[in-house]
Amino acid sequence: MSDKKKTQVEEINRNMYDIRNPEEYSYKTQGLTEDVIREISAQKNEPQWMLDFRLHALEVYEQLEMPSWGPSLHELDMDKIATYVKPKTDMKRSWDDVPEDIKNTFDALGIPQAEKESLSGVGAQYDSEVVYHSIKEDLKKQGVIYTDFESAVRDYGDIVKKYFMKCVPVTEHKFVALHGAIWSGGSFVYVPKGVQVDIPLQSYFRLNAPGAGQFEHTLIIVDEGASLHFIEGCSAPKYNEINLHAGCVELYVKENARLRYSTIENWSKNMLNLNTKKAIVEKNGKIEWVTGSFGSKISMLYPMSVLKGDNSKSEYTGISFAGHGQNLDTGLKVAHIGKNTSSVMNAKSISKDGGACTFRSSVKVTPGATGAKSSLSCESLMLDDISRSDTIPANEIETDDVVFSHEAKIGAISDQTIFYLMTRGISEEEARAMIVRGFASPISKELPLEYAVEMNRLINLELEGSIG
Amino acid sequence: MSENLLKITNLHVKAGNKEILKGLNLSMNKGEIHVIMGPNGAGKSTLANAIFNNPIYTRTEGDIELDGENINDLKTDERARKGIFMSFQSPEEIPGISVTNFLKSAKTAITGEPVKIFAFKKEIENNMKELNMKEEYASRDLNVGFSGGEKKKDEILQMLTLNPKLAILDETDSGLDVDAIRTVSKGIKMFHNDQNGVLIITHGTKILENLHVDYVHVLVDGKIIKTSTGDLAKTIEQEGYEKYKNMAQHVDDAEKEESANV
Amino acid sequence: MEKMILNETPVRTARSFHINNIELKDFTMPEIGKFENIQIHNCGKLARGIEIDQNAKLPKPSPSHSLSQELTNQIELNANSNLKIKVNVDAAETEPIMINYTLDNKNPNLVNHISITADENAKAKIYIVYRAQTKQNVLYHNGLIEVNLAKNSSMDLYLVNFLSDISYNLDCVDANLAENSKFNLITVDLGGKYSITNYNVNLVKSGAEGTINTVYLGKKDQVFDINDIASMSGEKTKVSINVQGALFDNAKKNFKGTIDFRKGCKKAKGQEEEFCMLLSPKAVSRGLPMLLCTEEAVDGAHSSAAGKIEGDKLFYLMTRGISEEEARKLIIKARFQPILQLIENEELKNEVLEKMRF
Repeated sequence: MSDKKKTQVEEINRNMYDIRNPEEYSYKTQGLTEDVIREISAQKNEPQWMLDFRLHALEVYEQLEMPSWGPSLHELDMDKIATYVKPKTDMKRSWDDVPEDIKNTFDALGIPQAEKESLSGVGAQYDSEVVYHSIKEDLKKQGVIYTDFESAVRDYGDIVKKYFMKCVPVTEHKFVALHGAIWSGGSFVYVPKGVQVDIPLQSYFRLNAPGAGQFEHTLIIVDEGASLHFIEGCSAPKYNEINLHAGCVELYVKENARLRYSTIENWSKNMLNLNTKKAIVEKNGKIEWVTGSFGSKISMLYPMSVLKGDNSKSEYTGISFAGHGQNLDTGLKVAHIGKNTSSVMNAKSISKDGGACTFRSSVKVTPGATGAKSSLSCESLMLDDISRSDTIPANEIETDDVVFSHEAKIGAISDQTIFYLMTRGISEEEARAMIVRGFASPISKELPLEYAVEMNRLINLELEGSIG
Repeated sequence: MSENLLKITNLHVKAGNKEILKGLNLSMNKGEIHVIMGPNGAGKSTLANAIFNNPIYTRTEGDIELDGENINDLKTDERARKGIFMSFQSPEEIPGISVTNFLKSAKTAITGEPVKIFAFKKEIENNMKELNMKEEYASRDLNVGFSGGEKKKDEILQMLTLNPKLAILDETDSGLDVDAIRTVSKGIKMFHNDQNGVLIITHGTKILENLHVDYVHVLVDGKIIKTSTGDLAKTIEQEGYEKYKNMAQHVDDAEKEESANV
Repeated sequence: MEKMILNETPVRTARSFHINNIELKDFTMPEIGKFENIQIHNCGKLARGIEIDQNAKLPKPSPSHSLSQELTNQIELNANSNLKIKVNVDAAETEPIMINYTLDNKNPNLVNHISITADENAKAKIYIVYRAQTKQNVLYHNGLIEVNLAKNSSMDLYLVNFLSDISYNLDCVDANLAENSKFNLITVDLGGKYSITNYNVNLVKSGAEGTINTVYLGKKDQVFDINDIASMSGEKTKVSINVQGALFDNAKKNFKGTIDFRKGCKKAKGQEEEFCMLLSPKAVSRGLPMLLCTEEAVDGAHSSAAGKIEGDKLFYLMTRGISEEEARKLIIKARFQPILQLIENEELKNEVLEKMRF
């Protein structure tokens, strides 16, 4: 071990993700004005209430300030971001009808395999409009609604109006207001009372136009006693201009219901990912977040669990991996409101090659939330001395009947651990990669196999025979 | 005729600025079991770690040969691939890597060819049975949350699986109860044959009970000052190291005189 | 009435977390007059090797971090008590220095600036105690202690705040540690309507070691805002922050603890532990234990916990015939004991225990 080499966890080969189609757009707008919003709404044939909502959100957006904390967003110029891009294809029900070049891109991302394996409904978002959407017949029979968001506004107007941006109000922060004004595309899921959806519902988001923003809205309602696993995966091709993602995810977990929301964020490295996610959990309900953040230039992403009902629960398992030029500021927010609520969080981060990871969280136990239990653990791994890793966890406890604990560790791979592995014949590089993979394994274990495989590929720990 | 397995000549090793091994000589043939005993701080663990090029230590002088080949300049993993194994006093915990997957990776690295999964798993299973290890440990993370005894058994399991030419056991018996020591001892017996060698660093004799020990070396103050047959271990256990410490002093004085004369 | 924003964290987080800083909304800055109630003495032997100058002209304060620029300016321009303490190398054997400030109706406002330097290999223990001798007037204390430790020196600094519960205690310590120097800060924070403190330990050179040990106890409407910052830049430096407290009634506590592993602090170790015992449903505990890191081979850990007294401990003591009330007190005291026992001055320790009565 005489020449000390730094960890060589190879850069992810992004070629397969960085396939770009020649741009063909039927419609495109630039910048953000009231006119733009009226046009978006008109294009979508929206009801008046939605247009009013958008205009109100725009007003709020103009009043709110940029965040005074976290990564610098000075590169963001809203005037340069094409806020809405609609591809030429209209809604497709069958895979055969999807145009070839779009299909090829999805092929590279592994979507058809998922379809072949009948992994249930694939709602794939291509640029801003859902171009391909299918839902398995048995789900339909169970009464599960899974559709793109524009259709939901049209076909399930009452229910959408009741829930849309009530969980995440537009006043929450500037990018939520922006989202409210120009949202486009996304998914709507309703799982009726008592229905257990056995197979995970998947949605693959993708950005294609240079400088295009992505403002998809996800609204999921899991009714009393029902359960669902929803998987959101993101990958975008690489362009020179700064891309913005300001999606919004609203999750309603009703009494005795359970929702697992898994995300693999793998945006290209020029993306500003300013996404907002929140779940409101009723009595005995449970929300589980599984999050892997690998891509994007800057991420500010803190899913929030509002434990409103008594005995409601939140679980979070997340990992961030920041490489060169990346600043991933991620974490979780929990509000304990009902009685005897519990939250558990396990977060990990890996920084290498000049990348920066920040773990940021807040746990709030409100005055009435007696019997609350909260336990947080975060671990950070520094793979070299040019990277950065910060842990910024806040807590606010307003009742005495609470058990709150938080632990954090930061460190590097120990030389003695590497020595141990090397005495077993494993090379230094393999040993380091092995330790990193082991570090990430609590998260990959929580993912369905094909996503775990993708995650391992993302970390690129090419250990022979290590899987299985 | 017995072939030489390990030959250490005039080995000097430092930890930081402190010299710990001060000209150590040791020679072992294939098929032999050697024991190293010595007071705390004499350099026993340093010797084991130096044979494996632990970065904490620096070799300043001397030679280490395995099978007649000088391994001075080899990295730790290269030495392992030449057939050396070491059981650690405090084995490292590696979260996220199961015992089975780890053994598979290590075996593949050492043999250079992929293992046959089914047969390999079977072999591990059998060895675990012999070592009184519960089956579930095969799928647990390497050493994470293992008790002291379980960790040591896991080391012996690794030894059996990787099947080295030379196994160095660094106080594998310390802190273990009688039953666990017997199990470890049994593992050594299963491993040992006329083509390999075992170097046992220990304070006790329990671990040696069912083994045929060829030589016992007494290591004091960085040097081997006495080498004898297996019975010496018992004597030391009864009498302690005191008289050997004095001997070390004499050796030192003698050397000083010698160098003064030069 | 004016608004004062104090004690910013070194790194900001979301405003909705209520912990980036503390805002005093109804604060009126008092006129700073004279302050004459200061007493300095050794507990035993004369202060051989220690020079104390009460009329020293101190250099412009330049703390690495402070409660606010305004308060630092006040110390520069309006300090009514300056102290320069120099510890020479032969001070090793001397008894601790005891400095007592007593605030009363005649001396209600104290703005003090203390500069402490220790020579190479010097050792000293210094106690600084703030007491109140009036319950009527609102007392005001704004203090800055600048500590500079040379190579291999060692310093134990004790700060005890016994001010009344309608007072303002605004205190800042800034310590710079050279090679292999050791700095232990032990603070007992009991007084003040607001006690707002910022303790900075800068482990500048290799091998330096620092600790911050704080006990606080809040009653009624007391508010504690604690901002501990350890900046590690020397190799193999070590720091440990330990904050233990209990909140009764409507008391509030904000703990901000930062361990900043900066470039060059290879092999540094930092750990931070905070525990807040909640003894009333209306008490509020906020925490922000931060680890910042830009260096590779470091070892950092923090833990933070809050809650009421564990039922099983209470039960255990009660099975031994101790009343619930007594058992509670015992458990709280046991929590504080490791820090309180660092106070070697028995008289002061007893005074602390006396004032901590609950």
